[in-house]
Amino acid sequence: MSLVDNRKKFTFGRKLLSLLEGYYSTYLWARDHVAPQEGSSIIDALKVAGYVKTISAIIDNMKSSPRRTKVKKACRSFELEGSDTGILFTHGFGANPEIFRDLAEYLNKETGFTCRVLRLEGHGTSVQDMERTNFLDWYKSVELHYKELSSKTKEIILLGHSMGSTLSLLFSAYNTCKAVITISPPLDLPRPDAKFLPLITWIKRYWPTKESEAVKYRKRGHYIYPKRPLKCVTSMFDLMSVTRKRLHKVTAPLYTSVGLKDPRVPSNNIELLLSSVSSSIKRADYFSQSTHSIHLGPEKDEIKGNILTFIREL
Amino acid sequence: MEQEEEICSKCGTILRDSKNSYIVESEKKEKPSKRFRRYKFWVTPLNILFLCLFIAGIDMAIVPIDSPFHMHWAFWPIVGIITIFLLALILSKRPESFWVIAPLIFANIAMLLYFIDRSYGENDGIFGLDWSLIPVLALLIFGFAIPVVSRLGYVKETPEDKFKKMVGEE
Repeated sequence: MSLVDNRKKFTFGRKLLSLLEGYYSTYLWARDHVAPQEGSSIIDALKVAGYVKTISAIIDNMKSSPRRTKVKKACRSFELEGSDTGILFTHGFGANPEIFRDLAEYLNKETGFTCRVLRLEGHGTSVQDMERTNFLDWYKSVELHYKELSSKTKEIILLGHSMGSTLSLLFSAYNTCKAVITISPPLDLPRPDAKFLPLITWIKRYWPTKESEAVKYRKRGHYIYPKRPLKCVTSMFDLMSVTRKRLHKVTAPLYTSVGLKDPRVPSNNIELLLSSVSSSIKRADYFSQSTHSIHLGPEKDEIKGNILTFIREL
Repeated sequence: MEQEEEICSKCGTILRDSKNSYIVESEKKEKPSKRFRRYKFWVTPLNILFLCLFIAGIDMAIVPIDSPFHMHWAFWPIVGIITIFLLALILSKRPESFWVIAPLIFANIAMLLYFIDRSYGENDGIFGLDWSLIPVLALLIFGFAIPVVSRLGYVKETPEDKFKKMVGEE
């Protein structure tokens, strides 16, 4: 057995011991104070131990961890200066503005438009900070950057990836924009367990990020949270529900795309989007080799070209 | 305007060429919250301890019947103060799950007291309980039943309502 395996075994043993330690010490206390009494037994002592352990576990779950609100340098919003037409980029759930660096630079160079990549509230800071936000805060982030960008540009194109595209769609239902461009927009995810999320949140606060996903992000030089607050995941589902009911209000020209290998957003979301919006110009692209982040995957050049063509045709 | 860092401070990755890009002003205005900076975490528990010692001291000093260290009535205000402190702590740390955590804790404490009392043998009180009857009933009524009923009857604002309010939609 290798050293790593031994260490794992040792850690497991330590965890098991610490788990039993509470029961054992409570048992000792109960044996001395409860068991010798008339009519009591070891079972009574163990019952007592169980309740003590439960109370201590609940109190332990409340332990607060420091909330870091300072935005990491590599996660800040940025802007690429250009003409009086602006493109407002909105990233997805748990991501940060850097995922749009390539696309923003490409569109800025090719079209000359001002490109602003916003950071959603609670992203790029800490998990504890993100936990305090919900989709209303994220919507306000889009609103704030939209206002700032509209003060220096005449027209704005909204571009979003994943949850950012859902936010862009919702925002375009209430605000004027030249066009909406969405990449892998989640609108109706096939997760029947999502309805239990609010209940699960009471017991479990965070869900760890998949290691394979974290590695993929780190390889690209992007920061990603090691775990995600389940409260925010619930809020993302709320956002989808709110957006679905307002899709008919979207009248701006629409470009949308989805990867056929996307494990999160199935392609029927695109069909739902196209059939619900009131836009006169609609265009959808399906990418056979791509997963969720099409603009970072093997077909990134194709999607960049397609978005550029769509913008030029407006 | 501040020029953007070209090297990621987190992982050391070289960020791509971004000569004409800059960090937007709205990002730099953010300041860390000062909410928890007023007092150290041990201030309140220590003050509560002093208060409890004071109450216990009065009880032991006024009625020293059987033993100078035996409390007669101070037990109840001390437990009450500690309970209120714990409730406030849960409410401030986990406001959303307070209505679940608090009843669970109180139900558990009630059951704990119940088993301890029963373990001392049968008594002639209701449910075979002796001293724990009043605290168990109090915990179950005030700590469990009332919060659960209040929570179930609470009309919560849905995300849909919150959004409508935010955008001013009828």
